[in-house]
Amino acid sequence: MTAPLAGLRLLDLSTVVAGPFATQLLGHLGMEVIRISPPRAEAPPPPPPGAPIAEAEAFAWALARDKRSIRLDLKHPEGRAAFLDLVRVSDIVYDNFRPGVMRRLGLDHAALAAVNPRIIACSISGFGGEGPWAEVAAYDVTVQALGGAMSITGTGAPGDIPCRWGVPVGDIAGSLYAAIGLMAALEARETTGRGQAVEVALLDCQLALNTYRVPQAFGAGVAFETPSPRRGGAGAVPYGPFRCGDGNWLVIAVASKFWPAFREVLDLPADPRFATLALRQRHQAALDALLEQRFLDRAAAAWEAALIARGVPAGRVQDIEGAFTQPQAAARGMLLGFETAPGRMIRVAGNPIRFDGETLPDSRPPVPDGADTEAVLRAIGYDPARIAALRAAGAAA
Amino acid sequence: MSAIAGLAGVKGPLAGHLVLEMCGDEPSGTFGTQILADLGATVVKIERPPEGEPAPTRLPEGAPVPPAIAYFFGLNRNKRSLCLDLKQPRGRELFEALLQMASVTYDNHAPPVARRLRIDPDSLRAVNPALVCCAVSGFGRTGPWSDLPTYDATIQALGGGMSLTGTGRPEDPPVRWGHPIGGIGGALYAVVGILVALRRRRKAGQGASLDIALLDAQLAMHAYRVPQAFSGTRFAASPHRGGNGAMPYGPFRCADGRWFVLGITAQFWPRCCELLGHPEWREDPRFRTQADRQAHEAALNAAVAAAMAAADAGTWQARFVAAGIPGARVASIPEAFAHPHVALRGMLAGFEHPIGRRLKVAGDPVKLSAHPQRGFRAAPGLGADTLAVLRGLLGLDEAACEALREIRAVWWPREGEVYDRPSVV
Repeated sequence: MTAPLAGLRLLDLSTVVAGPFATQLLGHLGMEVIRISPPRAEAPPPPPPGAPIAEAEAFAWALARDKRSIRLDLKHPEGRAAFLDLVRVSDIVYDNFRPGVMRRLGLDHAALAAVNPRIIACSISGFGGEGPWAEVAAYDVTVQALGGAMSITGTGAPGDIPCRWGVPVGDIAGSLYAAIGLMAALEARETTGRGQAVEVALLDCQLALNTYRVPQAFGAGVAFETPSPRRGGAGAVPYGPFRCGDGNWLVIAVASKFWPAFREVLDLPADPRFATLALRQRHQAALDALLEQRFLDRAAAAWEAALIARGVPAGRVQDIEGAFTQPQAAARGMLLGFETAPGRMIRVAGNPIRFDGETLPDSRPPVPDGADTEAVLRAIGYDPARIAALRAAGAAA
Repeated sequence: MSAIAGLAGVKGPLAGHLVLEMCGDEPSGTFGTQILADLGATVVKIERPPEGEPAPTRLPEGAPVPPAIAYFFGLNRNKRSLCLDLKQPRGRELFEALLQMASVTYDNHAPPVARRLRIDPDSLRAVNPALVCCAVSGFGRTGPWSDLPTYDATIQALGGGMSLTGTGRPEDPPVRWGHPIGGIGGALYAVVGILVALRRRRKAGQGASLDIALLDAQLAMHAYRVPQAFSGTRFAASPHRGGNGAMPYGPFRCADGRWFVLGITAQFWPRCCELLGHPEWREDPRFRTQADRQAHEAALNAAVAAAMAAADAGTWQARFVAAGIPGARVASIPEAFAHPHVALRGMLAGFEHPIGRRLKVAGDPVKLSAHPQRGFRAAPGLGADTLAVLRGLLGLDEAACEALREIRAVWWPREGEVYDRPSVV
């Protein structure tokens, strides 16, 4: 299979998570992604054999795979000129600088379009380019707090501490929306022949995830609080996490149609108090107490196997390692491994966008910063002497 | 093309693409197709004809909109509704005629259900091989769990996110994210996949069958934690320690009882000390560096908690914004939409519509300079667009439409818009 985005080139100025998460995905789908980082001191030496994987290394393997890398100083006139030469032959420029930085560098969409009208400029920021918050630094936890999600996440005990989702979804949702925006802009370019600016603010993305709760809050009079951990969105009971005999947690979600099978698996006596959903809701305390005892009889894995054998939705609370090694995830090939030295494996998450019946090219390991400077500049017609001059001037490395 | 584009809810970069939605109410389907509709695709919801002739929905003046209708508006704006019985031969025939014109199909049924309804990618691409068919399910079309039903809470548990979420107190249960991120996460990846496949289709004429599993999407979002998780690092819920060891971090209670969240990476600590009224902390040997603060975590959190309790959350918010460092009040959903940023960016929108004008929905977070947003079309009543699709896209005349309605292969309301739908969830 030819990778679906083959033939497209993206210049990636982004760092940390909100940017590179999406460009890694696009790179795996065949886009040529060129990371551009500033020239600086040599990269740290490779880790000694047997060393545990450090955070920086983990970030590189997770977010810089399927990308090339060059080093250019965009503040240096000759570095900036080389960047604009790359813009002429590229489709997308992608950044997550604070608002205003691209303009100060003379690289906002208008400046880029002057050298290539087909260029698409995609920018991610915390709060967008305007307004009183434009310059405020965003952090995943503050974006989750401002977006409303933390007010509906927690133990449900009155006054208890609000919780953020442990996954940095502020950054990740922003990144996925950016990928959507730039792909849509590519489609528009097919008819207009012109690029445009795509702008994504992390806070906007969190607001959008409130989706159906917004009209319920604004017009249907619904007040949202941290939901009971033991009641499902549509009122399902029993529901939520129960501690099992081995100390692990099992989450169940027993919508009415699953109640008879659930009752059989747990060997619950017929009890008129629990016969219908309305009755289970009314006698929830008694039912939950009964289940809390019953789940202690077996390990979480045993309950999970027994319930799913009857088609009842149930799932163990997996940690990351368990989540990737459970049979369904293994069967889907969601865990990739790269042997970086004899006996030293680095594991990363695979791409969840599957083309059924087709196989995407393998994911490629990250390269060190600047590994492709020579090749990329040669490809746009720079001769070795010119590249050497750029290096000597500190404009490239 | 123009007949299709003419039925789009809004103008946008996907103008001219017909998307057929065969989804239940869950966000794993409708949230994804709504993004396509916001981007200007013509999204037609295919819904089952109702029993009998349901009465039009008339809401008393001033009464709140029923939550189920509000829910529908939150996931179906800018779409069209076609009532079509896929199980009837005539209904299937019309459906297959639409498949010939469509660019994309999107379903979110468990694979055995999709096969039974003959809306699985294999059946659909047998009719039109150039289609981009996106099938979203809990576990995907392969693997030992592929036929199982899912619920957002079980996906969040299996996906690993719940093990990272909660109070961090050992006796407390793990917590799911309040949003149904199982479905929403899958939908976001589905939309990326559809746009990628449409790009290839435009260049190579080739269709695609996308197999999106909600579980896979949860796993992918762990991203940079995966290498370390498989190298001996145990990640757990840690309300007071940030991703890269940032501290102080997380929710602190303010004088008015509200929670205020800090996210103080090393660069912001000196400024934070001043804001909290304790410039001397910059030189305090317990708190000077991030490593010092981590080593004296309990003392730091107690000191910060005492400082934060001295002012209301709103006061802290103003101070942190003025300083430009990360700190935020934990907002309820209405408060989140009262943020000054929301009005500037059109993130709360209404409708010109008898029911819709009583509601507000979240705006589209994808801001495109060549496609300014100019309002949304209201979510459609049941079968509201059946005639427009049959006549405008399939070229049927009025008599043919009536004959199809007579045999209940199709349906549309005669008296007024119907919003009371039989719930699929």
